Amino acid sequence: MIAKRIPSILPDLSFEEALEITKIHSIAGTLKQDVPIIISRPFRSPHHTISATSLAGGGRIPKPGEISLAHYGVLFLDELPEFNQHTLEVLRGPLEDGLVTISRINGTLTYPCNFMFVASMNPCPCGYYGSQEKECSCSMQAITKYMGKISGPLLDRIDIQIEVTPVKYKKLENDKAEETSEQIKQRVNKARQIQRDRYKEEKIYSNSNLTPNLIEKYCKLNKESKSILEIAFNKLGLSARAYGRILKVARTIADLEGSEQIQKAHITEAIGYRNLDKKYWKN
Amino acid sequence: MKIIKKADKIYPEKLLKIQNPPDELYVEGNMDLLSQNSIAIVGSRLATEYGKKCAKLFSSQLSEQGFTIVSGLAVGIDSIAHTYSMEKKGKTIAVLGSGFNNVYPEENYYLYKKILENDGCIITEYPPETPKSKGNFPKRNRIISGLSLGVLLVEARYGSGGAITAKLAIKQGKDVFCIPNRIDEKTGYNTNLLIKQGANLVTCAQDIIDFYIEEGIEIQQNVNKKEAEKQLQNLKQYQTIYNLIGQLPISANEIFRITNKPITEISEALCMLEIEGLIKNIPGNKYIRN
Repeated sequence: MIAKRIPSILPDLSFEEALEITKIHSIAGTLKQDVPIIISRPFRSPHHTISATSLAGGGRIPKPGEISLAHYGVLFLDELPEFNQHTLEVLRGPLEDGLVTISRINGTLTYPCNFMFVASMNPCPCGYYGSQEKECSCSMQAITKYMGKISGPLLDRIDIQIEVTPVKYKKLENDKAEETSEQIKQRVNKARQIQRDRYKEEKIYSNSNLTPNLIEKYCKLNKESKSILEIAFNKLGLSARAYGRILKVARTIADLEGSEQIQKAHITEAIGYRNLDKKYWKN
Repeated sequence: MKIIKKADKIYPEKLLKIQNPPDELYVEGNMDLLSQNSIAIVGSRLATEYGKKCAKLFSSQLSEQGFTIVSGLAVGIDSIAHTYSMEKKGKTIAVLGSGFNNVYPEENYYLYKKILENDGCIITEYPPETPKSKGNFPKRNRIISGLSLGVLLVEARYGSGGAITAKLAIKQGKDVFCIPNRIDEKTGYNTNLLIKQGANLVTCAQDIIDFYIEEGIEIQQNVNKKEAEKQLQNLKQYQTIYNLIGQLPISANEIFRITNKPITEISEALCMLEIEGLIKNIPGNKYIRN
């Protein structure tokens, strides 16, 4: 449910982005007659029976796959462990590079695939592992096997990992005023504008496109935050990839708050978003 | 690897006293441990957070006090008992239900090596090539209890391996200690059952130590203490939040409702406390004290 609502808070497209998306959809042949240009971010949610080829793209003359069709938008994979493991591993490279190169006998094509990867899953086959309300009926082996379908390298590329607990009926009835999608979208747009202004000279649009060199330039930490990150690194056993990703997330949190510097709270929040693997994938 | 025959002088005396001692023992590592004061810590493979926590606490404290920890190298409570006994340079013995060339479960091979690196001991009554087999595991339980002064049962379902070990321990005249469990938790059924039948109820490692001091058994202390209080000094600003987190799991939302502090401040505190190892994030998105 949350994932389906993500498009409602995505930032508006710039003209260049809209053109790129339209081009890809035109190549794929999915552009409708009466839509000359796509002006909203795509949201793709293929069923878990999808093959590796249709995810990455392919065919005699390679056509763009789901990851390219989700360019500048969202690729949502519901029930992640149900996907074929081989299919999921296809995502590794594209998630890192934002590009996918497909070689076939008739040619080699490179499609852009700068998408936001969103996935959801249960903690175990029965769905109650860790629940306070109901006892989980899975054996430890079954849980390990279920979790094992998501490989470490793939997990490492997911910046924000959150565990949600079931919503109680009372809460569904709650009519307290909460922040609407419209309001959240305004915040997102503002943060995007900050990023666009900041990266004017770098030919990138957002924090997610930062390269290691640029991270050093734009994600400067004060002494305190640096020491926290260092301790977290040693104690939590984070990878080098996680380092860059935590900084990018912290930069984004700071942007959302309109803070020019990355503060201690931003860094700790970003670290807090990477704790799922510790809980479920290690002892 | 060494093979000890029943007739050998170094064959552990304690094992000779049990009903059907193994004819041969295959031993790797520090053999001296076999004759030292030891406590077996056993329990469920499918341990709850509560069980894991208790195993951790008892294992590290008992080994700190000089007891050797005996267990069965299975997943769950066994692994935790082995791991935390070594944390403070304590000693541990693992009893296998298969041969040395077929360590089971495979994922504990790393732990197996770690035990040997830390001057621990691994024994089995089966020749190296013996594969794992269902019947062997209950059988090796008699060695686990036989090698120890007493058996600490952390949590056990009805009729589980841990329960069998406790039963054998009673037969062998060993002391049985049980940690009380919640009555609505299946994992603690047999533990509570044994308490009902007269096993020693223990709530801290000191209970076991006191028990043996009364029995007149001398134990050499292993001094190397590290206090959580010291760490908290650097984290004073998070004290209020730390105080809220106890043995029962609590979520960030609940902390927010109680304290009414901004969620950013709470998540910062939780992250810092977790990094320092004072609290732990458990499945269900809740926190408990470590």
